[in-house]
Amino acid sequence: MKLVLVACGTALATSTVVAKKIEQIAQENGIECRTVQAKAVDAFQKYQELHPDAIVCTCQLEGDIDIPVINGRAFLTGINLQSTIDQLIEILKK
Amino acid sequence: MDSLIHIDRIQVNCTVNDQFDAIALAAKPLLEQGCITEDFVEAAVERERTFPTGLPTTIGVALPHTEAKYVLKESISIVTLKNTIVFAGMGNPKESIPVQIVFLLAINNPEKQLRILQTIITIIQNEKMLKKIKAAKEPQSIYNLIKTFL
Repeated sequence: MKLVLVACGTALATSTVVAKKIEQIAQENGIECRTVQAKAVDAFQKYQELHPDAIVCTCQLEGDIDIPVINGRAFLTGINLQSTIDQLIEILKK
Repeated sequence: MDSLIHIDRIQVNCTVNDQFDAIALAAKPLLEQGCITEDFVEAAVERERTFPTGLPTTIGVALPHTEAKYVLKESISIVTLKNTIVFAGMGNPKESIPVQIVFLLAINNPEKQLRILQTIITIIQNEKMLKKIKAAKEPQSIYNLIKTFL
């Protein structure tokens, strides 16, 4: 089971939409994946606690993160969406 | 129609000075209707400074919002702007995004409101819809346009 940490400013609006899209994309690609949402300020702590496979965020993140961090804005705007999806799938298939 | 969006929460062709003015204007009907607390605007403005919400869609959109504790009744306010206002980019505060449509989100239960949030995201990815919303001369037109997506 893969784990993606989804972070945004309040963990309220954008991260919910982005998290659902990620779950849907994973499912469509036969990848077992769950998501956990975090506020930007809590994201680093959650990263340390949960050891996710990737972080998708619609905000800037602080701290030393050594896993892939994907800008999740494409899931909202639709701009460069396919390349973002490809990037995510590649990470999750590892 | 989803009860979060009402005709009396839609304002068209407005003129504002800056992004913070735009947030205050969008919040006005929600405040009058008892949907948000008095300090929602201040909190949303503060959040916008730290975690901006401008998106570089074909017509720039911003999705200002803030913590659930400032929300009394979940609601969404829509403002279209006559002039273009600069918001900073979501995830990239140094980026300047010219915005003409603002969706102010007063949400405290995103799981419950997932469908309306997803609808807004579907709409902003649709160039034709954004153009129609921007061109709308009255709130009813925007209400009807969004209704077709719900």
